[in-house]
Amino acid sequence: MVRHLRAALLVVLASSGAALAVAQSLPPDASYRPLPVAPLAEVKAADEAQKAEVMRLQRLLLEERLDLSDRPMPNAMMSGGRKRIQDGVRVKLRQGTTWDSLASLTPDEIRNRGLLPAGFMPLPHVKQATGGQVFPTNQIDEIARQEQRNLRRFDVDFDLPDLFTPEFPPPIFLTTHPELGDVSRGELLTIKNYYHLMVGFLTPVQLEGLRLLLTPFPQEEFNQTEDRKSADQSLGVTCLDCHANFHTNAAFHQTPDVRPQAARFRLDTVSLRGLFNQQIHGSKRSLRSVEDFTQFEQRTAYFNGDHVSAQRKGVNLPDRFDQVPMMAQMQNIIDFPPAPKLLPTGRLDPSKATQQELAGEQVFLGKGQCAACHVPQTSFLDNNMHDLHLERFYKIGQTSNGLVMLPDGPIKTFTLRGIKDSPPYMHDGRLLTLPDTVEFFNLVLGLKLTQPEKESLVAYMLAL
Amino acid sequence: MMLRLVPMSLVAVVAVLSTAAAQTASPRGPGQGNPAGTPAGTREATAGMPAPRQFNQADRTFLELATKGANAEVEFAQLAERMSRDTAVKQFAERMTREHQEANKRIATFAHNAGLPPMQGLDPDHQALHDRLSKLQGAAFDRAYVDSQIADHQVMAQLLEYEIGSGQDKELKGLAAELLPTILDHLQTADGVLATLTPTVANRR
Ligand code: HEC
Ligand code: HEC
Repeated sequence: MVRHLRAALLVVLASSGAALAVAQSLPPDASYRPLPVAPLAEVKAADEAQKAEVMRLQRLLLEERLDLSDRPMPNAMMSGGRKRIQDGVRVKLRQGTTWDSLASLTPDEIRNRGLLPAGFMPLPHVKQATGGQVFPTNQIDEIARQEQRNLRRFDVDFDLPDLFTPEFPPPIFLTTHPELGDVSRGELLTIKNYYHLMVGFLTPVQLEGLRLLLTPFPQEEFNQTEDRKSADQSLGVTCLDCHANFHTNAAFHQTPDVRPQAARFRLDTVSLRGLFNQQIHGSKRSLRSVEDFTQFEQRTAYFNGDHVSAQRKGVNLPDRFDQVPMMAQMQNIIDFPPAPKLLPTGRLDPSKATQQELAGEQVFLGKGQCAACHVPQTSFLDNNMHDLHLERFYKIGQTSNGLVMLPDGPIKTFTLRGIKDSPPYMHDGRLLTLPDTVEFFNLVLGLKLTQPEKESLVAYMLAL
Repeated sequence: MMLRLVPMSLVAVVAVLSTAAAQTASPRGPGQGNPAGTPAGTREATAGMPAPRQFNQADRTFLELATKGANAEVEFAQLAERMSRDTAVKQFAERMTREHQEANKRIATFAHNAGLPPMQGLDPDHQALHDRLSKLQGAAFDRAYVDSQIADHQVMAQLLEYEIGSGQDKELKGLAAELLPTILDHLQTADGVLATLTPTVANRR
């Protein structure tokens, strides 16, 4: 018997080269989060000492890539009417190129000559080696005011200028009450005010779901152990600390799905508006239900995809048959902002849309090929993941402020409904404005759009 | 700051100034590490910034594994240059000898500075592979060599990324960041060589 096995093994070895591959293994902490090797006070002192330099480097990187100036569109506000929408292509071209000259080159030429604008490449976390969740100042201040809970990190601050984040607090639209419009009353929903704001608007099940979504639980950087980045023993983080009012405040994190640390791409918080129509969840994980995502997000995702580390910090395991569905049902009644120019089919109403918007729709459906993935009839989604193969345009493996820039692989198609409300754009927030996204797809899809076509596409997306 | 400088020797002042200059570097590169992985007793250049040649556990692990991989790389390339009759494989092997030798020297210097015991020859895993490869011939050898190269470069790419994210010594992380694009290019080249050895419909020209 043993001899037979051995003979069989030999055959396998000889026939399959792969079996000959080297047995060298990578270190375990390339997958698992290592424990800190120093007491918190020392780590904190070093982190605080580094902070100014960390922020300066990221600012340099942003300024090298992007134009961060305040150039709002003249007459365009986000849905709540409280924040202006930033205009203009903000990604900086490489010396000696124009958008048109770039679009006339092949991907190989752009890669070999190093001409891809750095702003199109993956955006690093403000401190890639540490990573973790980072909240914008408006969220930190409001949670401190209402709950006296601390969301500030001692090692990093939020890196993008406030001009390029969603309005705060964002409006809330309910599928169960379209006639009411925004029900937020200009407030940020928290555990301190949700009941008073929402009783009578929601069912008991929805209210209980909302309570859970607003209850803080320990997380990777906000917990009570020495492995944290908050000065105090933190109460933790709530779901809506990132998905502020079920939209997004542009809080960012790193993908839980990739190792080692240097390869983990940045994640910009997605809006939960219109979640009821989505079939796949997460830019990479493709989880098949809101329930799955909710349960998992609590369990390990904002623990960086490390269930071992989560266990140590006091993980919350919401009950699948009772609590998770209530959290899901609450999320599933959050609507997109109204788009009065759209027909039930997702097409523009010609009696309401401008000439430029209608022209943009034609580009979107035709020459621009956008509708191949952003299908108007299904909330501009196709419930698929697509690989845009941006790596055709740049040499992979370069390191930018700690992030190793690698192919993104397939990423979920995002909706374009209400898109004007959710800068920055793309899964990592690398693009600041809608004109940036048009230049991006013009290049990546090889569209050769004219300037008027590009402008009409932006006008069209503002109407969605 | 001035007060702290006063008792220092001129050499130390120059050292501080030059690390300060290094810090005004552009954001291209590995960035700051996570001090949660900084071992006790680490000397600092300035507050919070580990001095040069202050290695953490990840640096050492990286150096040990990279040295093994690097030694093997050259040995295997030389074996392939002797054994293979295939032009693409031979060319690949020559490139590996050429491009890994320089990197190996730099890794060896770091390993020495980190106080790692010197490592000669192949580690047991690579030795076993070497023994098996030496018994093969012709197409079987070529296939097995290129397969092992692909696996080795996959591991090496992840290992370099590990050092970039978890290492502490700025220069060593810089070396890892510098080598990574080349290693990924080697991997792609090896994939290309494999395609020439195993013609399929997908890569028919
Ligand atoms: C640290 C910020 C943060 C917190 C806290 C957070 N999320 Fe998220 N959420 C994100 C990000 C970032 C994504 C995108 C994930 C991805 O691309 O894989 C996301 C995605 C989602 C999605 C999928 C949406 C889609 O379009 O694919 C759901 C559902 C969701 N979160 C629900 C929750 C729930 C429920 C909680 C609390 C248990 C929670 N989130 C806590 C940042 C956060
Ligand atoms: C092949 C499918 C495909 C086509 C065609 C396509 N997109 Fe997308 N789109 C995607 C995917 C996938 C993403 C997410 C990519 C990422 O984050 O890396 C995306 C993201 C976007 C975003 C950012 C969404 C957000 O929430 O950040 C905008 C805006 C956008 N696309 C507009 C367009 C426009 C305009 C066109 C046509 C010119 C277009 N897309 C064509 C698949 C596509």
